Amino acid sequence: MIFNYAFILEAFGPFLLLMIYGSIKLKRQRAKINAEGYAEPTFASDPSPAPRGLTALGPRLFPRLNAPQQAYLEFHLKQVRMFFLCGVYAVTSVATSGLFPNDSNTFGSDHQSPLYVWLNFLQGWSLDSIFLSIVAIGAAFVLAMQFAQGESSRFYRTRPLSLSFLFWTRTTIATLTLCASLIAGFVLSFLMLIATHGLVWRPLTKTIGLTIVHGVMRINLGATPGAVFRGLVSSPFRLALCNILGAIVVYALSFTFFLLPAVRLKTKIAVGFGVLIFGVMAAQILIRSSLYHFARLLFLYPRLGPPPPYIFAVVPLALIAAFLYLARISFTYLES
Amino acid sequence: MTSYAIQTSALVKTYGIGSKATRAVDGLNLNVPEGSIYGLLGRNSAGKTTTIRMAMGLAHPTSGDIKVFGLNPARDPERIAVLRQVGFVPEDKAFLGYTPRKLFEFNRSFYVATWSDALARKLITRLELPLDKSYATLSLGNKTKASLINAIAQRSRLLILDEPTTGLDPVVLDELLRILVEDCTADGHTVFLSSHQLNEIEQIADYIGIMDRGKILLEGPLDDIRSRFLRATVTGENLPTTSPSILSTRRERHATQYILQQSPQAFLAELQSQGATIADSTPLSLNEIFLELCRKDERREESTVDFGARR
Repeated sequence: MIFNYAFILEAFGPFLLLMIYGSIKLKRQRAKINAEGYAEPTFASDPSPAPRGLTALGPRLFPRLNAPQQAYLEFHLKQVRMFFLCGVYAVTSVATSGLFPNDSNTFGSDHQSPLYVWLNFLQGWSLDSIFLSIVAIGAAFVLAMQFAQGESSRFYRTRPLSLSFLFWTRTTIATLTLCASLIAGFVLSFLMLIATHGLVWRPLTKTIGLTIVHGVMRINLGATPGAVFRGLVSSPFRLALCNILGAIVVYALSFTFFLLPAVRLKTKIAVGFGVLIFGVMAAQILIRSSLYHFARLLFLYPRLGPPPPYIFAVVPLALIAAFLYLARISFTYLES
Repeated sequence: MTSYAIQTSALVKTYGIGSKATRAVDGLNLNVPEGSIYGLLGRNSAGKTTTIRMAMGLAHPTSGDIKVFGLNPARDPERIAVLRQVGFVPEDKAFLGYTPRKLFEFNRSFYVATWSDALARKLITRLELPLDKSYATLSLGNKTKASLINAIAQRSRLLILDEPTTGLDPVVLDELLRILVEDCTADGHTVFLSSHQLNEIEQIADYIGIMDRGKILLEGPLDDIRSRFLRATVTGENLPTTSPSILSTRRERHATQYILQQSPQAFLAELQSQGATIADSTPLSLNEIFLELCRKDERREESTVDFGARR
């Protein structure tokens, strides 16, 4: 139970604090406005502040963009900062879940042994693809709502910006934010592991074995070490890379796959969202039980074990390109 | 030669498919001259907002053409050129959840070349808009004001205003009408506004278009339209009940009241030559013209339905 409480506190605590902080801030702002009464229209003499930090990236990276394009880019870079931070926090929470004391002990009884810590960490790090898919679908729907729904969509579609620019800017920024938060979360959790337990993969003895049977890892304490296990304990960076790539593929595939229906669903968006979440969960169960090899073909990394060959990355890349193309076409004919 | 800010030709917009298909706009021919204040009038579901959405590139015509300054608003890059020259106030007046100040500061970055801070400031003062109230606490009237100021301060060549008077009190409304006449058309800019508030439109519009069931029933300069309609009370024997000039007839105790269109004076002169006496003739207000035209269209529609049912 300690695990549950600690994890729930870690996962939701900061968001709760953020909501309380936001609500207090809003109340103070309202009280200030009420106290001041009618404000003179002095905004014209205050020029817009020069972009700073992440929002300054747009003009620096793309100096050839015209003023409306710069404004749109700056707005989105400003908007994704919070999403990025939330994403990093969520990924770090899930990725470090293996470091919490756990009631169900998968990898042996000695909680303090480097092997236990390392394998548990890897298990936590091999992020649950349901979690990733739901986050990505959520992002796709939020994006699609901005594309297709109400005032936000209408506001931007009636500014002098091309539909291509509107679509690709939003899609690219959303995808990069998702992937960047994922990578940052991974790096942060890795640093947390080193800070709390040291370089746990180094002192592992050669007296422990591991075999892969139908894609399922079996650890045999005290047996002769297997080649895959040696890889698990001796090549942490390759493993990390595969984990990250697999997670990025899940993100990008889910995001782009659900972008098209999200754009088209419009008013039925909430119902569609729920149905799709259940669809993904069902697909995950299928992938875990019988479609493990299919998942590898998509360069997914649904469970701890040997990573798929890098050449398999071509398949999801082609699919992502196709999904994006369809969503782009759909966006052109969209009426908001 | 007259140049047009908006021109449509046999414009059709259908929503839905098969038996559920609805024609929101049905063969619309509209001509909005540049530099005019054009009022598009119509009942609910007449097709006004759909027409505006097509002019803004938010909806695509099913068939026919719509041009804004001769450009197609549905296709890039012409769409961008159109949007650069158009200020738009949507029907619901919703805007991104910002305070008015933030909205103006954000919007001006899209129209760097034309946006006027001075004009925005002037409008804020005249319309008494609170700048820092959060979006959630703004009344509908204040949202309307913010949307209007946002569009007007762009100093666009064309202002498209969909129901621009929603939620405004009479004092602010009067101020807005002055602003539209004084500030918005001063540089030869065009104002295209849709409404069913006929009294307001009548005060400021140069041109009128009356729409019903997706079609234009009447279009032209307001003064011409007014001169084309007349209410006449006539006494005499064997008075006609049908003629292209008669819009409607009402039989009273000793006289017949005609609502006349298309050369009403010629029609009355003909009646007089046949021995009838014109007891009274008065021009119609825009409100009366609108009601008569819509009723006539309704009667025609009903008779078509009856005819179809009998078949």
